[in-house]
Amino acid sequence: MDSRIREKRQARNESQADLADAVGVSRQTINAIERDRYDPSLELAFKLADQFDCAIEDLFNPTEDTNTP
Amino acid sequence: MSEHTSTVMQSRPPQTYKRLMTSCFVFAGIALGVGTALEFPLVAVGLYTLGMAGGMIILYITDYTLFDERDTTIHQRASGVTLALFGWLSALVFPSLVALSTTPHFEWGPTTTTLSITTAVVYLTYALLLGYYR
Repeated sequence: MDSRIREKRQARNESQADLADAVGVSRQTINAIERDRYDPSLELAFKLADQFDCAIEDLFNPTEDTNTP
Repeated sequence: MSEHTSTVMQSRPPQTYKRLMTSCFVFAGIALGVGTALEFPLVAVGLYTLGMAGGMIILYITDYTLFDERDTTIHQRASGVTLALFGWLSALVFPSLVALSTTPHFEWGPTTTTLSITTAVVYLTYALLLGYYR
């Protein structure tokens, strides 16, 4: 899954730790999502979309080759 | 815990807590193994209890998220691979032992019998839980 989390986070000048705290996961999980090494659950995807005030499909783009985790 | 201690502890990154907690659990396991091997069973159990309690206390005193959904996913994958690996090994080894037991080369002893029963119980539990969660 291609993720635009890093791009959105950096646009807001937010650290991975800040975002992790806001959505209740570890910084390593945010890092793994940004590196396309982990596909978040639907629940976490909704929380991230809520955090960036956008739709889930604005954050994630499904690809053929998914990596979980 | 004093306010100062609490402030100092919360200023450390979550990874510090995770490492500390893991160290406590590893210490508990090693203490139990080494203490038992050196024939100090009560000291072994005492140190094991201390280590486990320390790990649990760290887990509960911190406000940080030490384990999240990714840890759960990793745990599920590792458990699945472990079960599959031992399942295939058991499917090869135990029938071979049954066949070998008909020859003079192998005889069921206490260790192999205990291993067989334990394996059977583990996979029976797994099968029951598979049915339950389906």
